[in-house]
Amino acid sequence: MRRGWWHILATALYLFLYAPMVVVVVYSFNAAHDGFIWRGFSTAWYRTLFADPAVSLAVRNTVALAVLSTAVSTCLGTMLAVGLTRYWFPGKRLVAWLIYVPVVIPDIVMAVALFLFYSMVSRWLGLLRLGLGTMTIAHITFQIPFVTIVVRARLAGLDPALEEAAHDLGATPWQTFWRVTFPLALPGVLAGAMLAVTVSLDDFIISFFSAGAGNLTVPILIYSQVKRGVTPEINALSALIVAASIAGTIGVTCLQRARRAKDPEPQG
Amino acid sequence: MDEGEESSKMHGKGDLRSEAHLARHIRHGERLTRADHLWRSALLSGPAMLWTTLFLLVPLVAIGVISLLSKGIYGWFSPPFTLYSYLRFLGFGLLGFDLLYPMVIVRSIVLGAATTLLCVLAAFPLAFFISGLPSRRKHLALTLVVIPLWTNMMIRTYAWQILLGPQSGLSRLLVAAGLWPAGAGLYPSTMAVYVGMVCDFLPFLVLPLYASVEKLDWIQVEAARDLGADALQTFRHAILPQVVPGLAAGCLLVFIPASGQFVIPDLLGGGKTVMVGNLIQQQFLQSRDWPFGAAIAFVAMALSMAGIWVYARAAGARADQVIL
Amino acid sequence: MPMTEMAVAARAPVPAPSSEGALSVEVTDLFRRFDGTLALQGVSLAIRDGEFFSLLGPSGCGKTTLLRILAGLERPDTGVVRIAGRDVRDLPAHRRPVNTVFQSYALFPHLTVRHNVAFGLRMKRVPAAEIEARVRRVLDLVRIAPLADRKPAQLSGGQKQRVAVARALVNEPQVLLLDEPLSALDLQLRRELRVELRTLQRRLGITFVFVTHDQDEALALSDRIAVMCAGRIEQVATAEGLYERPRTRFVAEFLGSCNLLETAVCQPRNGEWLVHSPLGELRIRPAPTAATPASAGIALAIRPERVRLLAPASGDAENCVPARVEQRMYSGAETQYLLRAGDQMIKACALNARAGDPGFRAGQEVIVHLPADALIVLER
Repeated sequence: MRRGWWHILATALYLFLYAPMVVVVVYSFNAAHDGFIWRGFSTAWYRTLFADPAVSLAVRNTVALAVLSTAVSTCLGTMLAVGLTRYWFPGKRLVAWLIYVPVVIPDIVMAVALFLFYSMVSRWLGLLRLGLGTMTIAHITFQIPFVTIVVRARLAGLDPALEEAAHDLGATPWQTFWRVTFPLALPGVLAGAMLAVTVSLDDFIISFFSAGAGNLTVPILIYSQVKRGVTPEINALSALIVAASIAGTIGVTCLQRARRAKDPEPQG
Repeated sequence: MDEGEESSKMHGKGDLRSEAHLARHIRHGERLTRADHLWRSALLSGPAMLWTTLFLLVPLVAIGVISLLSKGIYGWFSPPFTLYSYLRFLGFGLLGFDLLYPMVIVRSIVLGAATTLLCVLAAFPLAFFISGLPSRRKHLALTLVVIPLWTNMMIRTYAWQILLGPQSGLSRLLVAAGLWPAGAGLYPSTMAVYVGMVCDFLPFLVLPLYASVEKLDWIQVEAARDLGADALQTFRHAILPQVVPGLAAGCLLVFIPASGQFVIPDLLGGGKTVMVGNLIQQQFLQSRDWPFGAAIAFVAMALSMAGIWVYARAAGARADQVIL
Repeated sequence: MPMTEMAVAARAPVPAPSSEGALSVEVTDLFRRFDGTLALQGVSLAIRDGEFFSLLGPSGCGKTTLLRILAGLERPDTGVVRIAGRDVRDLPAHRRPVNTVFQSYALFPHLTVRHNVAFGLRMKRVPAAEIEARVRRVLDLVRIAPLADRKPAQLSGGQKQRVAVARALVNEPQVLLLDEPLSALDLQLRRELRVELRTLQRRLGITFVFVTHDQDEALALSDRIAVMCAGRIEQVATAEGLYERPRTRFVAEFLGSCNLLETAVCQPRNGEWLVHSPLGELRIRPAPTAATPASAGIALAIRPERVRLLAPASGDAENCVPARVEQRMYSGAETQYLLRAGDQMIKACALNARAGDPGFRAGQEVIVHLPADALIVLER
């Protein structure tokens, strides 16, 4: 009886979380032009979507931005994590704390801070004109802490005896890092990169402020469309993104399961 | 805070911070001097720290400085230094005291707090539900909480416009039942804003809360029951204290971004309500009053940093593991 | 050690080390401080070549620190460490001729058993064919060849332990360091592997330095044992030596069960000592070789199984005290008694050698005989 209520409540909450996604997918097949009333099944909006140069530009920009910024931030963030767990320097505690600043300050604050910074640098030094480059810089900046936090947690969870064992068996520090530490930290690095991709794809405000004119990303495109009044094309685009998210999640899960089946993690 | 030191303490290597220990400290069997540590830190931590300093700390300091300057022509800034922007934000503008801007802060904080509260109420049943599942389904249930995070927030918000719009089934149902004024639609409204907010932020509270619930020591709960506590007392004394770390982390992860949120209020509230977020945005994109925008941003940053600081103090050294 | 030698060593049993053997490990006056507490305070040791040497002590006594210093994973504040006659002060762990079996085994979870074992040889850039042969041989030696392609997560505790031993031995170290290698296993397996370790050590003739807090393990395995307490070595001796002739109160109580008697005065007298104990006058014969005891008082120890219980009528012989049986605990092979003689409690233990022997009942008056040659004089 009690468990039954629990189940109903949880199911309702899941429905609540998924209602918007379902609606978007359903309406993407709506023939209606004003988007709110069902007027029959149609795939017309997908066709317009694929034909729209703004959409393909936005998608290309978004993917390029995510890939490039994730590559850079994963490298920098992983190095920082290794440095913070392995070596000492004055002010290390402060840095370990400051890492959380970009994670928790409101997006809008970081967005305007970067916007001001870019404006000043481009006015006084002639560098960093708003565009894809400044967007990439912004994304890397807020991705680094996510990568560092995840990788650092993984490194801290490793048995210190493993590195000692490698060393005891004759591995030099360099060999120890590449043969033992790095392979063991790799799942953390991948998880950090995944998180970095996620925050990059999800960001709107910071991209919006550092984009400059005409540099569309998918969130910016959706925002401007929604502000201007709904075009059903957006439904189709959103539906594709929902599908891609689910496919991506399933893909990652399967990959993890395959890895685990092949290479079981030790317990404890 | 500092795993390197913690792990060395586990081995009794002692504290790295004192120079004598540094000199003796062995890492991978090397004896590292203080200089070695600095040199390697510079190589490994240096690039990311330099990057973050240049593109985060310098801009944040810059908005602090600009907030103290006066408005320039065409959206720039100019001397002299003045506290005018802050005074204006506090309500002491040119035209005498005005509650307009203080109300913006209050409204944003109320939005953040109310969203957090609603998310907490929804997250508890969900977290306990997931933790009660058999382990195979647990993974699926958790993944289902995460998937919405992968779908852009903008899309979900926009979907609620459809779902709560005047022509939607839900609105018509409520109107037909006489629960809602005819022709009004559930959107735009304050309720629509909260629906969108909770839908967007709920996963951020469920995940850390679930992590705490998963570690729950049920023996304490049984003991409380055994000692005659009713359901509410059991929750209050045996469950709540145990899940506080996850709950606190989740609340922080929801409250701060929710207070700064303005896109959802903008899209679902009908664009009439001014939040701290869009007030800042306006100063940069429409009003072109940079010092004023910078001042508001600086206050918002200071408030959220204060929040983290309080949280870090309360959570102590374990804040690291809880926050993500 | 060249390959052939190891192969020979593995086949022919090596005789037990002679007491005059060359020194394998020699540490002098080691000090190590952690955050204000001294983990090692003046430890000196000499371990002979081919010896199975145990470091025994409660947790926190410094035994693991000492082992880690030998491995090069830790540095002493002061003191000298020599391995095979060579001062290794500035030799980092990866260049020392020692290998370690870690308490947690520290098997690399991302590598198979075969690659775990081959790790050390790879690091030394041994030719692939030789690695292959040596790995196979050592896997056979510890009898885990069929598991060669498994990952550590697929192994049981005992199998992991064997892999850890194989991974260290394949490098043919001059000294094998073992940090409580059996502590994570259940009792049954621990007993089995104990025998195997001993056999392995005898066959290979490699010096083993074995850290443990388990006295049974140390007594059963070792040629010699160093008992450590609070960063100091209390006594170094063979198992019999430690048990029969403990030098300090700590050793006497740490190893096995023991009755301690605080005595006040003690007089040496033609070949024996006469001491005034809480049980009255006791004679110790032959007189201990230790220096003449201080007048402040000494402690005496006697093992419960050396205490003899006699019927009350036995008369008033030397070192005999009347007592009362307070408790009697029958435990199969033996019966333990707790006796009271005045204010002093005495533990005694009698072997149940004959069937139907009723022994003594609780409450019964008996005579406790403490044989003059069973009393041990403790230095501290």
